[in-house]
Amino acid sequence: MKDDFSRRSFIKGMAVGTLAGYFGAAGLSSTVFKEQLLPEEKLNQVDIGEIKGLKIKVISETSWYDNNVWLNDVKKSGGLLVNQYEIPWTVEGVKAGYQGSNLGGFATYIEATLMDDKVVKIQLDTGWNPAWMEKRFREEGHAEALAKKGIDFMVLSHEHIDHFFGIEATTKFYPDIPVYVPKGFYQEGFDLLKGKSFPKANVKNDYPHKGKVTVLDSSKVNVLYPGIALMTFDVPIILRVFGEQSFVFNVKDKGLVLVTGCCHQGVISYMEEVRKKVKGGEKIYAVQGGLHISPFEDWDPQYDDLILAFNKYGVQKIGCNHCTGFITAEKMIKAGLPIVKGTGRHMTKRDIYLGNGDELAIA
Amino acid sequence: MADEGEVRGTAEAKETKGMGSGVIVGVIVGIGLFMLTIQFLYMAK
Amino acid sequence: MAHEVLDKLWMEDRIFANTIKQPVVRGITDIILAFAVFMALWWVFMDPRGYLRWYTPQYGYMYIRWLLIVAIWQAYIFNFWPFKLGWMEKTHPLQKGLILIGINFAITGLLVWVFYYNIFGRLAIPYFSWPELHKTGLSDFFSREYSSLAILMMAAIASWLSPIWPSAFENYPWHGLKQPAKGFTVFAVTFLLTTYAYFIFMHPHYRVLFYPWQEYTAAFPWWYESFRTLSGNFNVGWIMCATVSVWLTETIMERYPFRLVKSQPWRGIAGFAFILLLAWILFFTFVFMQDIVWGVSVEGAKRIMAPDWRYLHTGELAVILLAVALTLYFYFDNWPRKFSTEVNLLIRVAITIVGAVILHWAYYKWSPGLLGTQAGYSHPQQFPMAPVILFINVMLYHNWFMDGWPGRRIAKVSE
Repeated sequence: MKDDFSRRSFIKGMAVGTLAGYFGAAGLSSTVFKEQLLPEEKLNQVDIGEIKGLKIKVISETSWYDNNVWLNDVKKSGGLLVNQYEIPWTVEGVKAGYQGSNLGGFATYIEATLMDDKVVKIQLDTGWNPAWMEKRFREEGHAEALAKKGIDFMVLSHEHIDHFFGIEATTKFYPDIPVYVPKGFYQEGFDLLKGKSFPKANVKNDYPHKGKVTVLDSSKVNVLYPGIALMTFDVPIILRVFGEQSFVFNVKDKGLVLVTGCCHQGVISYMEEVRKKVKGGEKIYAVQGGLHISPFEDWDPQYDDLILAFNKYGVQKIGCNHCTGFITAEKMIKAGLPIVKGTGRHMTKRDIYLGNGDELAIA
Repeated sequence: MADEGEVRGTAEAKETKGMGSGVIVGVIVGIGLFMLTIQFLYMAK
Repeated sequence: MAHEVLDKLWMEDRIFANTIKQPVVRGITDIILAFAVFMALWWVFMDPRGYLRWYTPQYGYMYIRWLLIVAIWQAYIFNFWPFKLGWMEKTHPLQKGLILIGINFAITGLLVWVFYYNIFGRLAIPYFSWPELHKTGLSDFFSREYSSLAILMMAAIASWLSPIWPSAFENYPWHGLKQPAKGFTVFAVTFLLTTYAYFIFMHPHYRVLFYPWQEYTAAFPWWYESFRTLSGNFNVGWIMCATVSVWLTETIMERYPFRLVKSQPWRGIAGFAFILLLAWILFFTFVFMQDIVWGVSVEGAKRIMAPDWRYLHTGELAVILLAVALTLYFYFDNWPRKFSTEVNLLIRVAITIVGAVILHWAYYKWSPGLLGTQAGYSHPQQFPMAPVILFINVMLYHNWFMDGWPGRRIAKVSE
């Protein structure tokens, strides 16, 4: 009788103590002892080599012309989780658009001069509206370069409509251009490359791609040439897209230059990953491309967090455009960040940042 | 009556004694279990 | 050792007769049934491949959160007034369910479309109203999302504060009132507190949400220095943990340990403090766990590395914990019950933690196929709390409104 009582109480006490100990330890480790218990960060830097110089030409950064039309297309279809191949994108009746279509597209031309003076010519992305993209390709002499197979390869940053749906504008001129895609492309993406059409989304490819397609994943920094690397990010993206890859160039005597399509992984995360994985990553010299902050001129306090934090990275040139957003650019300029100004031509609405036809040279 | 009271008092005293040491052991076990949880998370990194 | 019981809910006095006698079979059948109803509701209202596609995500989540707080008001605050408790006892669960769920949906619709969109949002603060925000020139899509966040946060805070009164305070000092006076009083007091809490914790988010910053109308996010984000997601995170804590203590923890406090209002105050302490332990622990697995968050970063998303994610993790706890409570009779309270609690908490790990794994593995979500932990338009709380709502309808039919029926209601 005596033993029963004490054993029962002991067990009750143990139960209370275990709960209190577990949750007490949780509370204390996550606050008071947090610093001591967090594992140390490991750097694993790769030397990607160097290039002599870099020239970046914005072929087109105007992916669409009317934010409200774009957002309504998405809202009517059910929001930003809906599959982009199933949204009926508006291609007529848009006053601010190109020939009435709301669709434009994103594509960049990059020339990297290697240390042996060989020039590597890269096309980043292929836009959305093939008619618009072909117009811009011709205006910049890029169509001619493609037809002569003068472009070494094309990198598709990610599978989004405005970076990829205009594929036939490239394959029309150079059907077997080597293409790099990030891991995460869906079957529809590979099918579109091969010539399938998706009438619901007003996208087709009459010039099937015949060249080599290489899928790059996030397991390592992918060095294409000394000084030229691609990094893939396993990031979930709106409109049922997954994965984005972005460039890292190492320009001699200047430092690392990051070139992106949309930077869905986030520019701060991108710089942090480069710091951990690429030699010299502690100091980023320049960033160019879409930074996906306020593409629809919407806002979120998190974007203010970004602007406040960006200053600490000491980037010398920010050649942002496209999905960065005008509000972001205005706030960044106000915060003293070095945004490279553009010229506001060829349907780019403002000169606040690099627009269609503008160039950024780093040598 | 007095006898019953004594027995009850003794039983209650024993009950409290068991409880106290139980709590102490339990707290140690609880902390240990949480540290184990953290170990699993280190491995999940 | 029994305290004087000041007030009880009608639901606590139900004595059930099991139609499906074997408890594990009954529990599994209940889960399958609830899950099927949840999937049907998800497909019709939320799924991006489905019919209405409201999961954008804040718009759909707003309805889900309001359905929850209205159900809490119906069952916990108003004790099913205006329905007579005799009617509640005798009416067939299907009939009761349809009527009570119908009222639940109707009140939610009225609150959103009449009160917020057309009264409060029109005459007081535009960001509570989708149409009013759109009139300012903001896009239709973001007008709907921004206003939804504000409206749902009022529901979320209310679902933390309102149930504390019947649960921890036993409705003290209004326990002696009859319904609806009791219900209206508790509702009015808790909604007043909710309103103040909203303006302190969420309103500063709206200062920085618009461009330019609304400096005259809202305070600067006062948590920025310590918690490295201007976003109200910091508060959303721990408040979501608090809404979970209320229900963990009410269900698997049987209001322990604060029920040991003998008299009111001290028991209520102890309960409030305990619930908040548990919320903060969950909050900071979940942040810590994410820092271990994904590395410390980086100020200004996006997605999985963003401090504000990490804070938000603590709420998502807490709700997964709650879904398991409620399944154990509703569908497995809060097993075990045969040992001492303390031992029962320990076993239930252990089951809840293990179950949550499993549910977490299963959710992130299967939600793309089942719910139409995108793969990955952090996505700009995704918020796992929405589907998980919708499932919880279904469980509440099933157990509060329908007595867990058909697995069991009310045998009688004790005096």
